[in-house]
Amino acid sequence: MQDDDDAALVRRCKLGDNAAWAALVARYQRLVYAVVLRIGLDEHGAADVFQTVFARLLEHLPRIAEPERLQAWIVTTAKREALLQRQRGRRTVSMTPDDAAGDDGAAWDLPDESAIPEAALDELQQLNRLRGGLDRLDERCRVLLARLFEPDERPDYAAVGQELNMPVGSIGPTRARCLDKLRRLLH
Amino acid sequence: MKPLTDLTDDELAPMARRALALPDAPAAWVQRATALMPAATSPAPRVADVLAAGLRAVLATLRFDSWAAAPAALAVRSGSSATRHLLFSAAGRDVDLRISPAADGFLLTGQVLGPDEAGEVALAYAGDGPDLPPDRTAPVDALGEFRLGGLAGGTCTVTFHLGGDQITLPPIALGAAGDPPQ
Repeated sequence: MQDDDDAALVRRCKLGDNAAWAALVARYQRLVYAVVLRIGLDEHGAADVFQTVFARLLEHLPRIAEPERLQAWIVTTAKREALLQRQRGRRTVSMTPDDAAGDDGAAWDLPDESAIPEAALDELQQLNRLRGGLDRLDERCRVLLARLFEPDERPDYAAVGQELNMPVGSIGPTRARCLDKLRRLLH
Repeated sequence: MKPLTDLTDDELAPMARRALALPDAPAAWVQRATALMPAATSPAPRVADVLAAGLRAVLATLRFDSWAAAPAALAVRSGSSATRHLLFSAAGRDVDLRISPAADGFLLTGQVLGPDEAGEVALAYAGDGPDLPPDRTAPVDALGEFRLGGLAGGTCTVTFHLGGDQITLPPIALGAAGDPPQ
């Protein structure tokens, strides 16, 4: 199921296949989460938006004609719902300071698109696609790349070799082969 | 933005580092989103979609024919006043099928005996051309019962979608070609 492309998962979801739906949610949960975090919602607002996006996706599934555009649809929906949620929060929570400043409130109706520019959304989509590819690698490559690409840490090849029972001299070539496999998975 | 597949190793490595650092949504959120599906369960799937989905295809075997004839195409001869009773087995299920001539064509009724809940039955006529009768579908209800009425004569294939299986019966001929049912 993890290796199925979006088109196959969408087809199965249309048949009421719960496992396919779970796979779609698992595939895109990080992306939706990243979008709502970037908009700066509080925890409750972010949770509401997260659920709303997947509820909209479920409603939208029967009408999806181009499953290859699914990721872009999810990102756009997540951004729109998050901005709406933020607007609602400002209207109900932040009235006092702005009233005191004499603001008529009209500006609150305009979502701040600059909060998450299109380029950042594109990059998030790329990162999510890349993460999906990394998750589908065979175990040897997946473990090696996860160890080599740990956040904020320069890899110590000697330690990695010892942990993974690999000669230090083979780590570099194996890393290159694993990156090649990753590119093929992303095709 | 450069496509991922065009990135060099040196370009791909920092991207992979960032991709691996993408945080998971809280598990409770993911569980709630996953649980949305049963609340919006879709109706019984259509056979065309089942084919596209590549579910397990099973060919049923004839176990009983009240007319005691089992050629490749099981002919329901026009002129017979008796309902023909056929029993098929497939994938742990029995399909009890009755074909009767009726005023408006043929009537196909029956019941699936097995572990499944509701599903769908589809009848498709063999051949092509503008005069081919249209395909028909009907639900298989919670008791496994189904009914297709007003069927035109001709050779047809009956297919069930039940659970994860697509069960196809051997070809069935409803009446001899050109003979109206009685």
